Amino acid sequence: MIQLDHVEKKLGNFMLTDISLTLPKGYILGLIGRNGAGKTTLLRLLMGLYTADAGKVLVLGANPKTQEVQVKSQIGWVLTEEIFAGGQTLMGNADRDGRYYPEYSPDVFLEYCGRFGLSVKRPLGKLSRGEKLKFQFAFALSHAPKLLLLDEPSANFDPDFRAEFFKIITEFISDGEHGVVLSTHLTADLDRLADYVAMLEDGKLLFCMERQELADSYRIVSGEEYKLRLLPKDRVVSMESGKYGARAFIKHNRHTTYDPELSVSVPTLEEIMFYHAKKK
Amino acid sequence: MWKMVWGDLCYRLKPGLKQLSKQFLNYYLYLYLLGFLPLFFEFTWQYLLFYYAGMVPMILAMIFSSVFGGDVNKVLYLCPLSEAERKQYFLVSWGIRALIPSALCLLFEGILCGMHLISLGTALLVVLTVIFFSAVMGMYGGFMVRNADGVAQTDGMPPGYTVCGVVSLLLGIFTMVFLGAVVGDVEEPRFTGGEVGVMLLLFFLHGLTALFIHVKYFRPLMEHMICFEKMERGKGSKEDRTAK
Repeated sequence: MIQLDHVEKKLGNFMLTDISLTLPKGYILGLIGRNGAGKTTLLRLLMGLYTADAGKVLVLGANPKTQEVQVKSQIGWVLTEEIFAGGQTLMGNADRDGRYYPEYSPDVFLEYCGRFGLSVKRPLGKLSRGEKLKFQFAFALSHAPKLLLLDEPSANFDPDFRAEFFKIITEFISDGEHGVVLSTHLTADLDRLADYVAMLEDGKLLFCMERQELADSYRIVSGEEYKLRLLPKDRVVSMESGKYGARAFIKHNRHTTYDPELSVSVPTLEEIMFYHAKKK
Repeated sequence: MWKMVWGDLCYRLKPGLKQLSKQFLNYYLYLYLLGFLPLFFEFTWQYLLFYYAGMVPMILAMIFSSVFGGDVNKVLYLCPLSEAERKQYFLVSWGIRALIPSALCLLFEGILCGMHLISLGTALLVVLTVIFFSAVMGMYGGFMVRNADGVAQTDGMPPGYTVCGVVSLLLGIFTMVFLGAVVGDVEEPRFTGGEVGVMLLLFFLHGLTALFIHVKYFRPLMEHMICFEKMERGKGSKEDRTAK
């Protein structure tokens, strides 16, 4: 579905360096990283909006820059930017831009809007931020895309709709022919949804691995500081000590054994992101 | 494509005018240009009609340029459109921005000519001035297009474009003011000094600037506007940072 090989992209002082990752069909890739880590740049490369300076970008088996019509007709996107016409109604916007997509169906759009509780006769500009994102999501689904590229969509969703959103995403990939890239700060979403997780930091890919593999790769170990200091240094990613003991974020494998007096837990994605950022 | 560009223009006209009315300088410039002849010159209704027949289309060209500059509708970068189709969008929108004021001017001058209020030579000079003017203004507003903060969006434009654009804008306005307010009909000028010569000099300089701008900037501007990456980079380092 997506293949990036040693991709590089320079934008002013920022550089996306040596990005290699693959997303097979039928899976969800979660993209995490701090603000300015390069998530949006990566999504823009996938959308064919930017050209890679080096390396190879393949989306749905084609180059999104040179075969942009073919690739873009199969991509649905939700972006944080307000790019649709605020003065037009939802239906007007969808019909206006939907005509470029060969598979666009006003009926599907209406169906999703109904499901999301949106009135298609309202002007887009009158909607709240969350509703605008719902509109984008309905539009993205209305032209039968193979791949969804979602840039921070769920932060503005209410809890009810978030559950609906997860359900739709899960339905979307269920036939094994579709894929989703979800860039977010809300790692709790990815804990529930993502099959693969990629983390970017200052334009570099720290890791891209299956969610389960990621969970098996790290541990949080807490206990007395002197015992943590005995852990092999090459496996300690980050360590912090406080008044009541110390915590270390360490690389883990199935052969690793720990002092029985240390408390060992599986980190959440948020903790993985936090400790990687802290390491810096 | 024509239908789509027309739709975009209609959509952007109303909020654009609202935005424009908040910018005192633009507002004042248009009012000043419209009131120039009746306020500062002795005039007859014939001269007034003659002046407005040229000035109103020019103001319309400036308004189009401000509210519907050459920037491509952003969704078009994301939809499955090829670069050639985006190029077509740019060309059609330029055509519409240049065509409407020119056609309006042609209509006005045709009526005035038909009523024998002005000579054919004068009508031709006015129509050509408006065509040069709206062709330059319609290319890309650049120095005319302003964002919500009232800042002219000139970043990323090819070097020298803004200066040339402003020079062309001023020459166009001076030509029309001189023609309408000072000279009147070229075959029966109001003053018999060197005014006709000055007006003709302004007219030719304006035409030359318009030609120069088209030869030098049309293609680079189009290439700039149809490519998302170039357009985004053009907006400067602030956008680069947010793009990460």
